[in-house]
Amino acid sequence: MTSARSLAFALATTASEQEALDAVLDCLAPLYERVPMVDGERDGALLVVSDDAGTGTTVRFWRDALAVGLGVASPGAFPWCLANAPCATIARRFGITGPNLTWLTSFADAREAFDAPSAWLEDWLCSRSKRNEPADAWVVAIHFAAPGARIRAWQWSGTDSVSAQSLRDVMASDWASEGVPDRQSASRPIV
Amino acid sequence: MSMSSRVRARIVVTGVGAITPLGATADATWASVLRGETAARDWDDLVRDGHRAVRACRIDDVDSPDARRGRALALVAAREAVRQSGRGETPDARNGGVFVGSTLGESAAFEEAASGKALDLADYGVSSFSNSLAAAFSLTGPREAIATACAAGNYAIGAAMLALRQGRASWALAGGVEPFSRLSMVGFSRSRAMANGDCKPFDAARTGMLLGEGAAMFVLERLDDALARGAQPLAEVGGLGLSSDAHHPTAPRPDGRGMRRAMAAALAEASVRPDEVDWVNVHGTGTRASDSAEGRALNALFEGAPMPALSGSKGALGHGLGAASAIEAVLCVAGLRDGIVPPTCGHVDVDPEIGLSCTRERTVPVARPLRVVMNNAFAFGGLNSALVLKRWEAA
Repeated sequence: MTSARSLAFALATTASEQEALDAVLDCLAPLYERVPMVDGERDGALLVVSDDAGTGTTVRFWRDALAVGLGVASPGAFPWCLANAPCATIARRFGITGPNLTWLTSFADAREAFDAPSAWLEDWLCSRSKRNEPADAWVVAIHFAAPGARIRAWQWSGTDSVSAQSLRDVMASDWASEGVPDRQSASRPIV
Repeated sequence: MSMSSRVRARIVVTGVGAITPLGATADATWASVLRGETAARDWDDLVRDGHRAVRACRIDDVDSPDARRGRALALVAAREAVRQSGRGETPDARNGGVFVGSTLGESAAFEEAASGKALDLADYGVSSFSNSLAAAFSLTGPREAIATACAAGNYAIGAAMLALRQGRASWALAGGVEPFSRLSMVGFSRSRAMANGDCKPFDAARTGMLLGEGAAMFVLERLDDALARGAQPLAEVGGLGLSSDAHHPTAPRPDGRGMRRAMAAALAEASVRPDEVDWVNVHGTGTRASDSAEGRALNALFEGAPMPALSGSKGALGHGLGAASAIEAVLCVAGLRDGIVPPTCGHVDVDPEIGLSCTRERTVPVARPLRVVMNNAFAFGGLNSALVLKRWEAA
């Protein structure tokens, strides 16, 4: 048997990607803290899927660099030009030391968007369960830009009887049904 | 079907292709690396544009607009790999999947957009590479655009391996792509990660990295399928190990614990003991922090076992970011094929803090032939990966 819990929040679009994510991390904590920490680490996989992670920051970073001069540009935002920055940030905030993956994809077809993380998740949950190891994982979907900036995270605990298709269908259905959240309510659950 | 409910299929490489600052093919790159050459030099256009760091490893003659440079590189590498594999002539040629890793996608397009050019940036991200390859080869299988920064090539090969084992694709085109990025030149140099001079992996006098670029692609397929169509496997993909440091936005855990965990996971996945590893292609960026952490991880992993031969290629090729680990995996396949560990350009003096010596010349192991190589790749954000490749042995 595989179980899932999820939380969803609107993201502020007036802020940088880093600020927008930081604003909701504490609200996501219950999803991660269900898995206990051992020696300051949480054993589990963290899988992120996004259609635009890094895009806004990259354009802003280069625009700012051109404005001040390439030789003296501030490097502060550079790590957030990389699309894996949200995944790394969540891992750091919650001490998740297992595999850490980020896919970039279109959300136009939600089922297609969740194909890759679902296939990966199925393998993780099943192979860990077979070895009698804790099988926990989180999938996070993020869209940063307006309209519809939002984040949704699922926490999965599994056994060896789950299929990628069922995992995908749950996440795709959740993601597709949310619509456009209130962008001013960065810490309010959508569902 | 659950993958763990069935026997894991063996996955083999049947084609490789690469375009790098040292060669327009995989074999040309391999030959240059064996000769100890480096592509590093100073670039006038970077001087003119006011970059603080102007030394890099770049490909001179790419016939493409800057904003489409990455997909041009990807196509060159993919054509070479597919040609070598003979897949283009098979009946199921179109059922292939495409798995591509990159750090920034078409960086030049984002730079142009920042300068005011109207572009739909969704067409220039990492997925533009997987989409363009799928279109070029009329592939209808799964497409994955993997954005795991400087380790993305390893991840893409692992993703393809998983898809093949799960039966989601009949074969796979997998690898890494990174066009030269002015934005990365600024980001890394202003983060004080760039070398003052040349890149010297694991060397006592190392001062940092040099930026590179390129693409490397692999044709991967299930062993039974490859043999059934008469293909000649070049190497076997043993396993991919992954971990996260959860430590710092850019710096690795100094104790190398996360790196060691990824390497151990790769060995477990590949059913390989530490004493069976013949060669480690180190990540070896030439930065103080990353090389020190990797050295500690290697010392911990191989405690009680002989230290394998160690080599690194970033002194020769620069750091190709999302393409780096795929390019280095190409070198690993060539090394397994030829039984040679390549020299580590830039490595002269052992850092006493690390205590590990890399190859200085091409090395042919005498105790036993090369059978197992581990390809390390780590990334900003604390991502750690290790890919185990095995020499193809028909028996």
